[in-house]
Amino acid sequence: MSSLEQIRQGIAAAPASANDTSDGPGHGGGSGDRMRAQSELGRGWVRFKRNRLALGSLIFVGVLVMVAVAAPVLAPYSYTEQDLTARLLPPLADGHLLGTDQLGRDVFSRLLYSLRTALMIGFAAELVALIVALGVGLWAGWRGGKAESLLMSFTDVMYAFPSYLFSVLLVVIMGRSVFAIILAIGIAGWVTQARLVRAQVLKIKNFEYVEAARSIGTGGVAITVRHILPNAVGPLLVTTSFAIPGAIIAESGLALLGLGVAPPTPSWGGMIIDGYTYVLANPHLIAAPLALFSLTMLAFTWMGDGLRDAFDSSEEDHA
Amino acid sequence: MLRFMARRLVRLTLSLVVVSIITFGLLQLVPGSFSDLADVGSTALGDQASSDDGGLAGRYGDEVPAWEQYATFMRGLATWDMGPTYKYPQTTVEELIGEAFPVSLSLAVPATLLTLLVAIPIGMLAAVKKDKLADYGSIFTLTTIQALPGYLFALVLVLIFSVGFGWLPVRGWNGPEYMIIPVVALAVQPTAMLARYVRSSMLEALRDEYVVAALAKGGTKRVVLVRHVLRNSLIPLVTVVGPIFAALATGTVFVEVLLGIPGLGRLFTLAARTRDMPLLMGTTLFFALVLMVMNLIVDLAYGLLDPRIRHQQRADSRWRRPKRPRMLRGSPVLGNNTDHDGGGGGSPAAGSPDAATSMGARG
Amino acid sequence: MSTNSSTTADGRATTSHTSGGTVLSVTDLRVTFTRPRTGPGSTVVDGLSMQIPAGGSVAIVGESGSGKTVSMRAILGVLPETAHVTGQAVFDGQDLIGMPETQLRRVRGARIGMVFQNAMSALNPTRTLKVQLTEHLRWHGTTNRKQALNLAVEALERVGIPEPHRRIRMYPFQLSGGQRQRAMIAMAIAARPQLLIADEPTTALDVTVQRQVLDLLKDLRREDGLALVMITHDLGVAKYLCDDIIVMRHGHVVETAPLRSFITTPQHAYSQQLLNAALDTTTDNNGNGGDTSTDTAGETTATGSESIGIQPRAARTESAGGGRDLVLVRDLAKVFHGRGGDVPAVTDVDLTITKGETVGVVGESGSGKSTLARLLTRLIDPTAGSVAFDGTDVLTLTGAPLKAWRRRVQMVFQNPYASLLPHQTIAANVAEPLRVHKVGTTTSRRARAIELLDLVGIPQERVDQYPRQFSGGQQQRVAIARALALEPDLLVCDEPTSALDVSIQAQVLDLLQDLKNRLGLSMLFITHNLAVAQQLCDRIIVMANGHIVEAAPTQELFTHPEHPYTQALLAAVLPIHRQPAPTPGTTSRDTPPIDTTGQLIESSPRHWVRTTAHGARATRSAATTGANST
Repeated sequence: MSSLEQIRQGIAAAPASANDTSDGPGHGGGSGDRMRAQSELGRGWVRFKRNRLALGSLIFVGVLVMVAVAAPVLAPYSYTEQDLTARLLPPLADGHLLGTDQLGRDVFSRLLYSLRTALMIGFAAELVALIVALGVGLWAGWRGGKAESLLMSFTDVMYAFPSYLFSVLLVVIMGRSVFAIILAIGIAGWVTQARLVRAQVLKIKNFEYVEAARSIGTGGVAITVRHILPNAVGPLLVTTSFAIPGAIIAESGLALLGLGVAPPTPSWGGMIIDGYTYVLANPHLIAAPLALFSLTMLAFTWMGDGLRDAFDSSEEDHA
Repeated sequence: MLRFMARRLVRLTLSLVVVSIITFGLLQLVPGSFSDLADVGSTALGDQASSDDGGLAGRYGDEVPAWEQYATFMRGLATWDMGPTYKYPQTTVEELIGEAFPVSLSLAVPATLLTLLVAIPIGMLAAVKKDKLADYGSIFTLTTIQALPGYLFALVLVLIFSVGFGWLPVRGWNGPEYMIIPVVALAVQPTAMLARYVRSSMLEALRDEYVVAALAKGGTKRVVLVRHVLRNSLIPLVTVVGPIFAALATGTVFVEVLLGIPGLGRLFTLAARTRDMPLLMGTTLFFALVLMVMNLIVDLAYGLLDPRIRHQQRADSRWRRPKRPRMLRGSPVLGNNTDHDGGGGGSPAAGSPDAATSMGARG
Repeated sequence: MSTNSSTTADGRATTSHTSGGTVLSVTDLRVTFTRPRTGPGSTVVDGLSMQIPAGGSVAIVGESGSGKTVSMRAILGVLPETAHVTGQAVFDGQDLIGMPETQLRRVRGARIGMVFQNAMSALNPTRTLKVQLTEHLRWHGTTNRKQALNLAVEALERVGIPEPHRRIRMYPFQLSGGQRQRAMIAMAIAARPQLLIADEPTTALDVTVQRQVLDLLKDLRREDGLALVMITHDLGVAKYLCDDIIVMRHGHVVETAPLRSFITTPQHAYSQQLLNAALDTTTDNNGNGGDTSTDTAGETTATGSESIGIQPRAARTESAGGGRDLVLVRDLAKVFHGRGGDVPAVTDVDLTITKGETVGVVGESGSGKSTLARLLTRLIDPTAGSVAFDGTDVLTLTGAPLKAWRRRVQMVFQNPYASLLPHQTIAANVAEPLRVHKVGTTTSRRARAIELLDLVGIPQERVDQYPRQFSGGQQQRVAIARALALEPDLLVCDEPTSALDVSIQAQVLDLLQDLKNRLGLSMLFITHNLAVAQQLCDRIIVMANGHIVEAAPTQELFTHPEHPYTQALLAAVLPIHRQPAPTPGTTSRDTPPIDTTGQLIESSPRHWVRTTAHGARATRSAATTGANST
């Protein structure tokens, strides 16, 4: 009887544990049943769902997005509608849920529209950054050499040149349209993510399974798309979920400096800096945007935290 | 050591030149002329009446070619004589920076100290009490705090202590009581960041085998904690100082503008809004210079503190930038000052003397 | 001859038995880990009992996860807080379990010393040896600062570290791997404990260094009457050093026995399995090989060199006459350009593999053997040299011909989990090469994958699971199945068993042997384990520092090793069923650098050896005379 048959029979007689006492990551059939056939993303989702705070934050973010989309329907007033006879009204006065500002505009309506501004710019800027970062990062990571050293020296420079300075300069050049601000934030932000993509590619590139794929004869592009990218999705998802609130902060920050979206389009930063003049008498003018701003940031952060816990492969290594 | 210093200084200068070229180049793209003093910030108009007089007093004018303007400015920067600004022709750029920088510094230094004093004990406590209530509680609080930019804390503090209790002034810069809100607001976010980093760094050190070895030699928990864990986890802490300083620099811009403090950040914003080229170039490069020098100092300090890097000198005169802490990745506030270079192999552990050969030593 | 050092150690040990009695007596030790949130945890050690006589030595043997490390750490109370320990561990009349921390601390380090597997992590990288070797002497109040330093220097001296006065001021990373391990042992013995617990102290070391460290432990036992608990997975190590053995598995004690009787008559089936799985190198006339002096080597090279004079290099490391050459490698070299300068990884390698032949490449870490494997599979490009495969020049291939060539050469990697695509099922993994080369349809590829998985012993009902759901051994079988999918002519195996436990290792080797016989595969087998190479290979090439130092048919290499390095490698092997070769005469504390300056010559038919400095001179003169005479 060949040793092959011995092995086969051994396995049939005593599955998994009796024959294999190895310390492999999964332990034979038992755990196999529990962890049903699932992709990496699927497993991450299962872990993510267990985190109540993160799941709640995800739902909250979903609600925010819906509110932002439906702002024109939900808002009782237009965000430009001034009523100079009803300036600086306190909350709940005269049909204004959150009162009015110094020009007599409804604060609640402006809040909803500023949410719209913030989310639109946040998502769009991050999309710009992500597209550029993916392209450059994958290329630099896979090809190495000149492309890589160029990226690295560029990021080294950017390291000493904070992104907000860069955004401010870009806004100064391009003006204060929504499109310009999206570009200004996106362009200033892609470098970080390109580095992350590159680092991921470098890490995965050194895994033996990529070597194995090469030894089979798989081409470079196919390896990048089929093997490297799917395994970099988790970390990318995590950074994206942190980068979106980062972009929102950048947008509000620009508005705070008077370089945000041109008025009368409302923005949290603009509402805060405008309301600050009247803070002693009318604290609600900054309290309202402050509260919604904070809640939005926290929801994104807790969601990102949950994603990190769910997708961070280094945590798995320790387990 | 000297070779390393020299190399780093050359790199620093080069980076500064690149930053200046980028800044200057971008400013060349601005529609209208530099001498156009319209405030783009306060008015929404992109189409301000462009006055092409250009005959402002000073060394820059529209008739001078761009490269010459650049050369003149850079010469001025090198000799610390950048000439008058557009907005205030009677004052020079270096005078304005010279006035504003001490103000910013008097916010940044106390904020840094506050950060260190609060963050390290909290981080240590959380690490030692891992998986206990104190740990979960502090981590949750720190994560929450870290998510919010410093100017939001400034607002909260204003709402509570200025509006609510009336103890502190709302805005301005007229004495020590005006420092409290900005310093605390600036320190909050870096404190959260640092505390989380201290915690994870200590937990990492606690997992190391030499901790078990020291316990097995008969050390008390406290002695092992102080002699081995704390020491080793505080060394990489130096690396966070760079990002923290960057966060502070960022923070000062917003806090200064919000609270009306005449610091460097407000000066930069003013310059940006008025497109005051000399002032904008001056403040931008000054910011960049401060950050680069901080990073240089951090890298030097790291090299001196970690013997693995200190003794690597002979074999490899090029120090690697120490790996940036994990904790900092993905912080929404920090922007591009966090380093995602996870795969670069620049970690201190990988920086062992034979790391250079390990690539060839696979067999 | 039975008077080898192990028996003399036994003799001394028995004398100290009478004076001491039992040092450590463990009864029914149990360790359970509770998980922080999920309530009741797992039992890791389940009822360990053992006795260690004064000056005695016990080996705890088991595969990974058997609870051997945990049990010893439990005795010293250095487990994390989640561990729950019950039972008794009486040391010097006192029970260590449940002893108050302050009292227990006086035992740790002072009376029981501990040695860890990896000195790189067990020594604090940011403190000097001086700090780490003296601090516990002062904690225990043994001595003052100055005296402690003297004791530490003395300990370093004892473990054979040259210039201890200078080295004690160094940091751990400034020492070589072997010296680091010695320094850690010095740390453990500095306070002169009665019992030393050594946890796989040589696993991370190369074989030649391993032997030195084991000899050091042996000396310490003999000279100090130190009792020793040796945790290991290697029966050879256990046999070399210990009197008694405890076999553990899944936290249970499987067998406790004196080592000598254990090896001849193991009582338990698992012990038998372990013994069967442990491979020994076999040489028919043992001992002769080690005796071959440089003189005789010089002679043989001199005689063999004539053939070189006639047909230079053409027949270098040539193989059996019959088969056709599949792979022909000439002057292959690879230099890595690192930050610290250029590192030559492979230098001037000539190699031939004929059809159906299995060639083993043996060497220690850093010898360039893995680089060689990657050069042959063109995963990296060489700096110089040529590789011909079945008559075609491999190095100039690009595009479609390269892809077609890759079909014929497949690779099996060291770490099976890392080499499988984690995001695909194992069936998809095995079908992946077929997909890449567009062989068949989706259904036919799947059918083929299932067939191949069946061939390597993975049942059909598990083919849709992911790699992580399999054990290490099973993963390696999947990797082998994948490598076979395209029916390659050559299989390159890079340490395919070294990440696996011994019993699994044996199964994988059997599988490879069987596949080789059935499919007529040619194989290049990279390993650091001489015994593995001997079992599987027709011909063995020994590499050091990127050079081939010796190449010969397996039988010939093991019976007549000629290069000093090969001899050292063979001598360092610790056999289970036979006596180990005597320790090489010089008690060299550090391995001398291997001389690779000479040239390869054929000392006897198909036996190639690199001349040493002495031999090289002889060769040159002989070669010239040979040339003159013809």
